[in-house]
Amino acid sequence: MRKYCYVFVICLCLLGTSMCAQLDSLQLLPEVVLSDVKLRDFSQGTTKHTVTDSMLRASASSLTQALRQESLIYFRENGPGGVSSPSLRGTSAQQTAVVWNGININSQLNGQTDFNTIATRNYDNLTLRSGGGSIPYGSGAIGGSVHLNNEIRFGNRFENDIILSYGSFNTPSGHYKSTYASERFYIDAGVDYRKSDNDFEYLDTDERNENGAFENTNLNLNLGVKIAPRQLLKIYHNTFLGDRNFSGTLTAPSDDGYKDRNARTLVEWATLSNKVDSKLRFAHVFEQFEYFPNGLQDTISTLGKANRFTANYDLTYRFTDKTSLKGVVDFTSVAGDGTNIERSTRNLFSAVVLWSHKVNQKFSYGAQVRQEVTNDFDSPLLIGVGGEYAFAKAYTLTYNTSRNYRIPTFNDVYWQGAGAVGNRDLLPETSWQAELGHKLSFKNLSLGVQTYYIQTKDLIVWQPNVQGIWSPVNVNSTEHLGGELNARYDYSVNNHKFSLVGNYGYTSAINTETGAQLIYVPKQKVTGSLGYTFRKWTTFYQFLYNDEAFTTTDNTDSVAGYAVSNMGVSYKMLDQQKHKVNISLRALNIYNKNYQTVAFRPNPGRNFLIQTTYNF
Amino acid sequence: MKLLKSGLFLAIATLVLFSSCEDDNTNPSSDLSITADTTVDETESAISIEISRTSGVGIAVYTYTVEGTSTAAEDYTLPQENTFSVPVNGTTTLEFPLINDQEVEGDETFIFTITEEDDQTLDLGEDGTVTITIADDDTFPYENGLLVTNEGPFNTGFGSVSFLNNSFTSVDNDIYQDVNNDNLGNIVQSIGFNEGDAYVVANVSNRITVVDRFTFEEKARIENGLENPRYFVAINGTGYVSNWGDPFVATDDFIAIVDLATNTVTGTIPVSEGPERMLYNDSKLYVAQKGGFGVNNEITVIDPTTNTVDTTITVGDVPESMRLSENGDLWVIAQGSPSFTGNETPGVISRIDTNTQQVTATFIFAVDEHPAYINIVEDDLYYYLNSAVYKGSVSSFVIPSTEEFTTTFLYNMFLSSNRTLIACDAGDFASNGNILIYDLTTNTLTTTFEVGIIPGNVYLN
Repeated sequence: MRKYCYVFVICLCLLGTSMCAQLDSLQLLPEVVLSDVKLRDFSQGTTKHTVTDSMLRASASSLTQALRQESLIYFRENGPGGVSSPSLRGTSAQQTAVVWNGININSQLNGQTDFNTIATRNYDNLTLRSGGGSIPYGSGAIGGSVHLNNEIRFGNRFENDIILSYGSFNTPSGHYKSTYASERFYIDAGVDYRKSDNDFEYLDTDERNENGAFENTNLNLNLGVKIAPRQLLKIYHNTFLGDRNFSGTLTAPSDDGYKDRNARTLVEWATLSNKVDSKLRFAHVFEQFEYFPNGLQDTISTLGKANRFTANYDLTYRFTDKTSLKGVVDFTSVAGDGTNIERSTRNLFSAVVLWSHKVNQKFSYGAQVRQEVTNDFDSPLLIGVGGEYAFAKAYTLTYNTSRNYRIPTFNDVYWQGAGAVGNRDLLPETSWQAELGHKLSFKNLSLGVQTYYIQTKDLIVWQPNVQGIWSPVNVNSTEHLGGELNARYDYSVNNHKFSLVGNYGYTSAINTETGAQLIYVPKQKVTGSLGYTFRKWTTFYQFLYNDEAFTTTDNTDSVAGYAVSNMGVSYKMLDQQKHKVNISLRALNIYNKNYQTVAFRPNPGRNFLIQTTYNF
Repeated sequence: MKLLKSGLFLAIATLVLFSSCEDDNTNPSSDLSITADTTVDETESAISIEISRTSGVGIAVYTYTVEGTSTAAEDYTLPQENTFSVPVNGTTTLEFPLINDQEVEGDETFIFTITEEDDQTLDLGEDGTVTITIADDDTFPYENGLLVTNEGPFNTGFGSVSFLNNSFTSVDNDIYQDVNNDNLGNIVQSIGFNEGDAYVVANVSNRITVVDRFTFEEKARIENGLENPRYFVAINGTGYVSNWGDPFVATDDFIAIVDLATNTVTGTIPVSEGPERMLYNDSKLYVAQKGGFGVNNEITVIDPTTNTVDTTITVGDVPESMRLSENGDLWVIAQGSPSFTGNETPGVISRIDTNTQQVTATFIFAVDEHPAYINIVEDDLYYYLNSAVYKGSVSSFVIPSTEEFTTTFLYNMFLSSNRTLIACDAGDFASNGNILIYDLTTNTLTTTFEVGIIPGNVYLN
């Protein structure tokens, strides 16, 4: 512990000297400040897909909804609004990191992010970065990482954004965001609210989705101040309050209630110059869940919470305009506690070095290394390299290989009670992976093809010990082999605009001991959408196919594959500089398909949503 | 061979002749003898009846009737004419073709009686009739074997019941689904029996499915009055179901009383936390209060004539399983409180006198030893501890220092009277489990059967 403090003091000193060194620099601060530069500048050879602000606002309010159609992630969703666990490239939910403005926010307790506890409409963009990213983003970025970013954008303006919608099963939703900015100051504040009775009928039965109601509130506040010519202070805050009932299944009733209380705050002090960028960050991430076995109104509950403090110093040095070196030292202290979690503290110190070199117009590469030290377990040394080579204007070859990890969670290590006990001797899950990608872009057509291989070992699995008590052990290893194809075609003539987007993924994810496909990893997923815009009118058609997914580890049982389609139309009622009003109507699951993503949990049949947006 | 057969025939014929001579007064006309096998398997081609005539003149025509519990056209075929003729000193053989059906009907009788001779009533008494038993070769599909409950996946799916035949040559999985095209509900915990019915308890679904124990055809469901049901025992037409109630509340646990004529819950007997397995010794109902999600240490003694609690007996923590020994003592294994409770206690075997309801002997394990799954056959007491099977003597029990044999992590085990151990291996709890058959005379694994997800209990059927 003392050791970490020394290192940290040294870092602070470094920061001081670097700031002094730049006083003579005259560089002006950029108008748009990215919250996470690593994503742009230190991710050579990885596949990134960005969902923009307008798409997020138009379509979705939960991260599950935003990415189901946009990506090849399979969502193991316990019904709409229920716990949603992603599987990217066949990896587990704990092997997909969610990164909020550069800070990994996967739960310290269970290691994953419930994608239905992230409200997306308050973010300016959302990027899916497929493939290993543990070196820049820490534990869990094995299958990939999902980045939620707020942009701080200076320049005089005052903007307001209102979205109101109402959907089937009594689902009202509202969003309001107000942004004020000047040349030196930026602030935005947003609130997002969504509530649903969620009591849809189970198709082909006379049952309904009992006990499925939910109510989510999301608050965002983002602030940027130019405190000196080259100095910037940024504050990001997000609070999520979720009160959910967890519905039963076709065979098991449920009275469960669940409350999420999550709050994240990030303060960043950046000094930017031609040669050196230095950033000092402090983050506080609070997470708390409370489980009510007899419903939210009952007095009986169990609770778990974690408080995380992170101090992080990030120094980027540009040797030339083509080469840069970034060093990040990070100290994180996490205190966990709960009904079944022994009160405990974990301290982690990590050092990361990222190298980026743009050799010429055609070729760029990067190299990365990370070492973490903690009191709980031994962390592996992570290294990675990636590169991109443009053979022609229309064709780029990308490659990356890296070692990644997922650390044991507080549940894994400190669980105590209810038939289970944590294990102090766990190792992190580790992976090696490689990815080869091809990017083709023509006038109206862009194509991406990626093939990847992931090998993981020491996977943490909960199983009964000799005394019959459930306990986690490092047992499984897996091999993932897959391919992804993305295509986009845009065409416009006169006032007619067409866009056609398609994704296809093939995923083989095998337990190397049994040879069986991992559960809830469908071998194939297809998404497609067709959009057509004419003057003020836009219509779209979306298609999604998920292959059969096994539900037992011996592959003796499965949920059937399914195809669902959505349609929508929107109309710009008002399209002025200062006032924009849009109204849209969407029909989901238009063919009224009875399908399940988790066994025995039916999804809604045909349902509708009407939405208006107003910007002024 | 032929010679032997003819000799035999002659001997029988002579015997019959001799005996019918003695009954001469009841036989006003001819002397007849009827010969047939007394038992014929349903699988044989026909019932064969020989009628020999040893007196009178010429050819006589006889009329007969067929009666009995068997049915013409279902079990056998009758010729169009119910007459036959026999020359004097001759023999006629009648053949009644048998119909080999698939019905389980039990053994049936075929009573052949000669009623007329040359259109004159003929009463030969016992000599003029023969009763043949048609032995049924059909059994119910799930008779003579073992039923295994498979809990199934928690919440998302359903449990099942597997059937293993007695000779351990085949397994039939999810028999309820096969027969009824439906499922038993979530977490199939256990089965109880009452005469020809089986009561399958689904814990999470709060449901008992009543089925014919040998055909598994559904008869009824009990869905009201249960809350986290665990086990079922029937006593004289009344069912008793242990219920946890709300598992997060220690004070709402109960035994549901079920009227088995109407399959409705008619009352409850409140008990302490976590009632689990039950055992009836023809006098009292013993309930192991395992503790549910908590820890308990009692055996509740219920008088089924009054449906009240007689007394409670304190044993070790977490009483898991019970067996009666030949002398009527109740033996209980308490696993001890597990380490994660923060107050680990040792496993305990208790011997209870079922007349006085007093613990008469206590055997305490080391504090980190948590035995389970007690079984008793004759003087041998078997239990499980840390992936091994141990054996002691009921009459002179001491905790054995070495195991009989080692096995894998077992979820339960059941010892049959012929020294076969049927062990439940739940594997990773997320795929089909296995039933392991051990021969306890050699302590070796003889057979393995793949069953459903999380096999938890085994019953003789």
